[in-house]
Amino acid sequence: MTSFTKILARVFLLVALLDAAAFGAEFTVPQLTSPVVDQAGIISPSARQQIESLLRRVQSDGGSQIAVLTLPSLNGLTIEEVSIKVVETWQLGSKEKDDGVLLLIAPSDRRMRIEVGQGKEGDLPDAIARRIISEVIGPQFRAGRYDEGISRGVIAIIQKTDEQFDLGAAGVSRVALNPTRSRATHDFKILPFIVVLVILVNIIRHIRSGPRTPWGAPGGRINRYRGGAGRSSWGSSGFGGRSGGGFSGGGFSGGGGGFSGGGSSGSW
Amino acid sequence: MLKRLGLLVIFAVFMSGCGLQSIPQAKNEVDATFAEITNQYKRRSDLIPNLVEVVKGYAGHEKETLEAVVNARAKATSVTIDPSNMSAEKLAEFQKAQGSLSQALGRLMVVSENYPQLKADRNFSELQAQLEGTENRITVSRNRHIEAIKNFNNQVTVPFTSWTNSLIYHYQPKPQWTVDDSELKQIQSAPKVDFGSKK
Repeated sequence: MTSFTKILARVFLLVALLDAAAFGAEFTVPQLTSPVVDQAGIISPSARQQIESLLRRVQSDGGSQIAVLTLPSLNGLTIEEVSIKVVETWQLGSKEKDDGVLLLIAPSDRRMRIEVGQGKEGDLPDAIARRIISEVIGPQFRAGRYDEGISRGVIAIIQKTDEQFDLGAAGVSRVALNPTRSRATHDFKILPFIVVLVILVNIIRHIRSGPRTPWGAPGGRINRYRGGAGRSSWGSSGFGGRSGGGFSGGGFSGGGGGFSGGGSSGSW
Repeated sequence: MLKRLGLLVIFAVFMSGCGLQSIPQAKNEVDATFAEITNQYKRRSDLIPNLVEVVKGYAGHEKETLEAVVNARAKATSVTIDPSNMSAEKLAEFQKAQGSLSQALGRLMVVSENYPQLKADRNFSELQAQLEGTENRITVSRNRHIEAIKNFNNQVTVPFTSWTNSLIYHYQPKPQWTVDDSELKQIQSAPKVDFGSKK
């Protein structure tokens, strides 16, 4: 029996060593401690605070989980390889919506990448990610303004991934992103109509069914919406926190969001 | 009664560790990751007609390069593969067809560098970004597939799960997704375009 346990212990040790060899070889993913992980030390404390509070606010409003990571070195890997490793470890975004986005910056290689979660590939397609890199962030970085570039890049990302988020209320001004012919302007015009329509439908329902029924009452709607957004089904499985991975008490962690390699990379 | 229940629990725990569940799960993972690869190849294939159209508009006389892409695409879409019945030869054929499409696309991208007007075309640059993104998705899905095959093969060949396999499932290890040297070159020459930098 004792010899058997000895052998077993050796096997386990061997497995552990092999695992360490397999994973520790190239690049260790930094810990996700906050929405902005500035390992390269290029962001000023005040800018960092502003970006962090904005990103936390977007997420707590039921929006995407967006994170910024700067790295001192890519350890000889491509930025795409590093990026997918980081998001596979961090799992930004909620498990249900896969709504995570990572802005990865490697100043020493002058490379950056926007890695888009599976659920946001429609709102932030590769072509738009590419334009955020080349038209919004790139020019600022070339002028050495990292704070400005990252802030604007993050705002541009939010504009795409979380259209409903009120940037003005968060004290942030929008970033000009040249609309791609047709679609952007189209959306802009149709949105008010939808809003008016929804309000009208609600008013009609309200009048028809009387103010007391939960179906027509606005309170019922809002509650139901909250129920959906604050889903805690997976939260009970040990991760803890809110729908988007969340950050209770200053901490910050991913919520199990999946990535498939969408997004774009660029240099400056 | 209680004793029986306890035995049942022990039995269940034992079974969950011996591959009864994990072997089929690993197999499903292999199938799912392979489906993702074909999905991404399909996505790439769907981008090509538009890309060829745009390039034609500016560089119509690069007929050879354009035709190579069109032909490689036709070839690649004709080679389909049944994931449940995947032989090493069939897989190699599939990889080769997709590999030559990668190569043809790579050449097209190199050629397009010579046409400043083409490069300035917004349509083209968006297609380029999508193509680049798709190539990256292909890489990611391939890596995940390779990882899934490795896990499955471990399950069916390494004890104790392999015992369960030889008793119940009788699965054969799956052919690993290999990348030979010539294909490796093709992959490395696949369109990798720097977007931010001025050239």
